Amino acid sequence: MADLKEIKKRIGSVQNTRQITRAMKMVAAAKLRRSQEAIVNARPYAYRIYAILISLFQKEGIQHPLLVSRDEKKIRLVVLAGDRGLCGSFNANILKAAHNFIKAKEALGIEVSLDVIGKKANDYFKKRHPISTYHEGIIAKVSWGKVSKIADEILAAYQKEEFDAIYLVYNEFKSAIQQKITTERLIPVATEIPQGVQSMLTNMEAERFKDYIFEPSKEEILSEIIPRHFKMQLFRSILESIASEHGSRMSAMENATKNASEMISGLTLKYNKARQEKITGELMEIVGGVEAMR
Amino acid sequence: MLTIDIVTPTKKLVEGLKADSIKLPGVKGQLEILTNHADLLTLLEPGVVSFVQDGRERKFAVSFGFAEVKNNKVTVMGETVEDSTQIDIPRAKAAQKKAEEALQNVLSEEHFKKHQLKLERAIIRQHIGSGQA
Repeated sequence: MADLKEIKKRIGSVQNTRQITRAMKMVAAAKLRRSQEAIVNARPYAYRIYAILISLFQKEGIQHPLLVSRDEKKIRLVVLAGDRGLCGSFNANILKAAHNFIKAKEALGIEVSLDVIGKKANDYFKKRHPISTYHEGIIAKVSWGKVSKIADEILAAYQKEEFDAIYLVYNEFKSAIQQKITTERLIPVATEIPQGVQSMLTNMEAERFKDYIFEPSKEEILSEIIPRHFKMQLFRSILESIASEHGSRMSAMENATKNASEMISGLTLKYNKARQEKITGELMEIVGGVEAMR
Repeated sequence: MLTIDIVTPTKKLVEGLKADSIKLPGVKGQLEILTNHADLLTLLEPGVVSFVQDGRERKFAVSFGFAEVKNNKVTVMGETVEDSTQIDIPRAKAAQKKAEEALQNVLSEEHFKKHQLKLERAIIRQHIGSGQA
């Protein structure tokens, strides 16, 4: 017969855990909503900047150093992970993807340097791969100003030819329960347009720059717009990564809460059985005692 | 009639607003866009975007950005755009002082440019915040 007191104590402790995971789930859900809003708010600006860039490049054939591929000898990889754990396989997956990407590039004889955002990425790569810069406190409180500064630094290093391409690996936000690990080349800017965007652009932008006035000139506008596009890409990716993290944490905590509930009902059953057994045992003793006294 | 959109990386400040004209701080000088303006794509300098909405003038401080005019639709894309009613004047003053101090001893061309821009921005913000511009 299992110890009644022991079982009761375990039920209590699982109940406490469930309370915590439930609260964490609620917090993650609220934060998820806010970060989703941020993504939606960033979209119009991002889209317009991109549309102008693509139109200038495709329709007008304007060239720019940031659009031209260099031979890849050294590259910079920006890894986006979270600051905190308890969010399922969110961090593990992204770090594994980053790790594999580095290995694949190194196998081709390409030197990879790292920019990491998120404490977990720093913790992971600290022991495995030299980190060029760890950007702290971005995930906890993201702002355009901070991201803009990071983008400027990376771009300046690229222009000094410290590396030949800038890649980014991050979690793309699909939905609250779905994230997609994405590796993208940010610079040189990919000028081949993704399929879905292509049809949208050709409809909307077909006559885009017919008889336009450009001030000061197409070339100057393009050279201002590319760095902004890069910043916006980085900013958007960070927002997506944050939303993915909250989504991932929400479902992880929901699962934990569910598991705790299952465990509690299992334990309660066990407890009741044990109690019943004890009562039956006591009854048998009394009945046995009475019988003996006759 | 013009339709005006003002977008920034963090939010849409103005969407589908109707106005007769809009003033923009273009790189080649102040622009006033009226109905049936030729299609245009321009860079913006730090300055003030303003238009009249329901008989009341609305002003926005723009740090840097682009503006596109197409078929009477004006889109202002600014990195930081602030409504004149939301400007924190003491903060702008502090920023001006800081930029001025930084400009006392110039370290490099880049340094100068950066703080020059900051100074310009701080002054613009104070102006439109106090309703002078």
